[in-house]
Amino acid sequence: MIDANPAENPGERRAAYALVSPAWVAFVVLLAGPSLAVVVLSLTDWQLGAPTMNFIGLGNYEQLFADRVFWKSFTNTFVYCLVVVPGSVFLGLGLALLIEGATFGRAFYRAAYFLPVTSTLIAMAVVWEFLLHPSVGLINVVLEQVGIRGGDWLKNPSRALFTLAGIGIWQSAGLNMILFMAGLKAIPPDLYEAAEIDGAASVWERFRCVTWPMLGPATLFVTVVSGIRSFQVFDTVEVLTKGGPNKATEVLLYTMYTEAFNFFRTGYGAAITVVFLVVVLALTLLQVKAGEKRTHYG
Amino acid sequence: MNRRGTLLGHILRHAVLIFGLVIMLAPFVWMISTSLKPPNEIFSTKLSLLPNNWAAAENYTKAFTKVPLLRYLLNGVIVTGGIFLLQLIVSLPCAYALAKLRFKGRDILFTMVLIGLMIPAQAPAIPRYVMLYEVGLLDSYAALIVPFVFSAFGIFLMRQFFKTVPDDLMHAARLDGLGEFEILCRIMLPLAMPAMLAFGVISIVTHWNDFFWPLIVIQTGDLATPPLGTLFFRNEEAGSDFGPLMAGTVVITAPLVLLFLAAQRRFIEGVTLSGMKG
Amino acid sequence: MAAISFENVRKSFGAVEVLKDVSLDIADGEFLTLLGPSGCGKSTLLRIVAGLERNDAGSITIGDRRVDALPARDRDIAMVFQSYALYPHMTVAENIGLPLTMRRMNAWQRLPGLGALLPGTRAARKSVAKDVAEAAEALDIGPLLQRKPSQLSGGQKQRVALGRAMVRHPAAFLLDEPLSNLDAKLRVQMRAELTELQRRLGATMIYVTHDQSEAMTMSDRVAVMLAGKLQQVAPPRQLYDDPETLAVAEFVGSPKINVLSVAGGFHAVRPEAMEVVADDAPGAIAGRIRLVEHLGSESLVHVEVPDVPLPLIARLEAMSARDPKRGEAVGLRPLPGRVLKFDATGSRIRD
Repeated sequence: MIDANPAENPGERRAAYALVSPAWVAFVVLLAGPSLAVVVLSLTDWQLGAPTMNFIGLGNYEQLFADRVFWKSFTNTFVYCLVVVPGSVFLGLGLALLIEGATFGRAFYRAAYFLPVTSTLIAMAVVWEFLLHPSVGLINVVLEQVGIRGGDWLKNPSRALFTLAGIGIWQSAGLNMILFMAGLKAIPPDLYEAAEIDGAASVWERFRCVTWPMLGPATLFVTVVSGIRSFQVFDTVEVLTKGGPNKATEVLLYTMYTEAFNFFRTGYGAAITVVFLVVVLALTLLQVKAGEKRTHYG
Repeated sequence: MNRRGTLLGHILRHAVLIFGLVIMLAPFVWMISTSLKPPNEIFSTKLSLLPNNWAAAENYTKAFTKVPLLRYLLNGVIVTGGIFLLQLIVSLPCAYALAKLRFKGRDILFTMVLIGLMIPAQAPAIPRYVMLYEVGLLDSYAALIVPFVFSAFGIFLMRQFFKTVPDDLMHAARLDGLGEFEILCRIMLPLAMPAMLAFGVISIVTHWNDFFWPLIVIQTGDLATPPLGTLFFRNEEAGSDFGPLMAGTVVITAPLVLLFLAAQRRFIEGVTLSGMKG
Repeated sequence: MAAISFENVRKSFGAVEVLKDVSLDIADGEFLTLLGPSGCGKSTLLRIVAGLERNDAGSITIGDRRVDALPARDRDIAMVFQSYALYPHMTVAENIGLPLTMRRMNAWQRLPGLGALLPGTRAARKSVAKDVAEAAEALDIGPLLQRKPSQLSGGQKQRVALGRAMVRHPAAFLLDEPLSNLDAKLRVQMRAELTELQRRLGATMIYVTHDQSEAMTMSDRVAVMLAGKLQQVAPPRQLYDDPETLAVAEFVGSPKINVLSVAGGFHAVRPEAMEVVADDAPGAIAGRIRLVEHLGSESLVHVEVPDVPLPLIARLEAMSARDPKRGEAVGLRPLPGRVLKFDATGSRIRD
């Protein structure tokens, strides 16, 4: 049916409004309202529980952009993303290609590599803390066997952020693998046959001529999704480093959390949230663009 | 893809995959292994998977008595179950109306849902906290559940599903005397089971594993969700009594891992659909 | 059962006018077919009767009730869909019983589990089961009652859909291309069964199809619809022999009627009203045979005539003495009194 005549049937319209109203109320009260309130709060000097609230314009932002800790936190978050995104995307792609090309054991590999994605990250962070223990941790013990002194992974300021990034890659590679597998499934098999007839004989050539170009949009999508996810890094920081040592692992959400919920500087925390939101929304718009491209391939 | 792979190719492929597997699964294996060992073996630098002297009973007993582990798991079930149930109650009627009914404002509402999909969960945290503070609901189950009742993802996913149900089915039901709400309950819901399961998987995994929000709103140990409980436990132990600690993490991790192993296909479907979007 | 009438019904989707001022009276117990090519608006008209679409203007009356403003469920109408629209998660019995359940049990009694405890539920369920069994018996699908739709063949699904429509004795049946998903043999069989059923129930039926053999064989009257307009409403025989417009003459009949341009309009002649004669016979149109189709009981002779764009077709009885050959020069001559005359706008000119 052509759908050019909405609202033509009063009974249908009444029923529709009744059906959507709970969701509409929940949306306004729980999501839209608070998300807009963050922006308003970021323009005030309010502290939770304080009797007065003054509009101070962009005061919080001026303070924020003058704060070395904020810039440290901002840079750390980006460095973290710049390690985790390529790491987990390439690992995910490699795994997807290796596993989909295997003649047996595919379901087993898929499940096993996916396991870290579903496991509770906080619990696994505690396990990692133990694995990374400088003297009795599995990692250093294994390294010792081959004659390497592992040192301290979480208390060394030049290393701590990368250690967290390593855990981030471990946790999200399986997710990217699954997304790439969906992308691979969407490639029509006759393309490979066509490529073969056209002379793409080696595995590498077929990858270069068919898989990679067909997977391009999926790769963009996976990359952006990974970016958004790793930009939200928080759990491992809170459990393993508390932003330390010496702000070496201070990340945006962690700074927001301490300002807003430990020091109750609500307005200031809201300003950090707005910065966070702007970056995530920018990445999301990229994802929407990637999604549009992706649909070309059905 | 690789229909003409050589034997060497096969061996190489599996060698790489198994090597990667060892690294990926090492934390799980070591977690379980440590949870079975007595302290002197944990602190020895000799590598062995199985303990010489089994200390599983001690470790697990200690884990369950030091902190209310079962309570944490129960909290996890109450919170994730409560969230998912309320999400369904709110999302399904809305998704049905968006997919199948014609009404003024439909496009605006759907745009709102799409915008809702883009907003990360941490963005509205401060005002939500303030609201709960104002109504005196901090540190309660309500604080853990209510903020997540609106799920843009759920509405979006279910709408896409309802769109695939033929209009004729709905028309037949109207002629048979069903109202819109009854069409939703009697016709659409039974058909939507697969999509609801995918939604359920995403919702449950997201909220079972969520740490940021419980950390903010919960002070009382009795209300801790599994991740928050893990942290309480870790802090209690001051990070030294690894046997019971690992036993605790085994217990906390087990439910979702088992759920995943039992319903792999739904997990992978749900995750693929959402890009793991909460 | 009830009569149905449309008065000046109009409907547009956006800028597209799908129904242009449709008026039609259908008698109580009549089998009326809406015949037209796809996109002519016939399905829309059916959906408007059902209450699934609203008409923009005009009125619809079922029995003595004006129903324009009533929702579908209050119109006492049953519909059979081309896709059958069976509920996939329900058994055949539940599918057929649903309209009765909705009418005989109140909202509380329908609740799963709890409903069974309420007074009257058992009696209502029993009466539903009895009527379902009766309908199933009438349609010969008794043994299928516990199956799910996915376990049924196309023909069986068709019967279940009919059962669901029949079971509550509606004021009228609406059938939207109900046979088009069946294979050819089954279609012919169901055609006869449906007519039989309609006579037995004495039901008012509106039947939508693009297939003229269905329209011609089943209907009391056929309403030909082209581009949103009713062209002619008449019994099948009359529609064929005595069309009001050139469009109807051309749409009805296979092979298509022969049309010749003449001064001030058109002459149209049915293939069986064309005689094959010698090319120089008086009054004959001379041409050359391009193709002869032997269909067993008859043969179709396609004759190419200079200045006529399409070949003219003559239908010959198989017993006919003539045995025309491809390439042969022949003449075609309309039988006396069998020429239909139309003016330049396509309206019939009667002598």
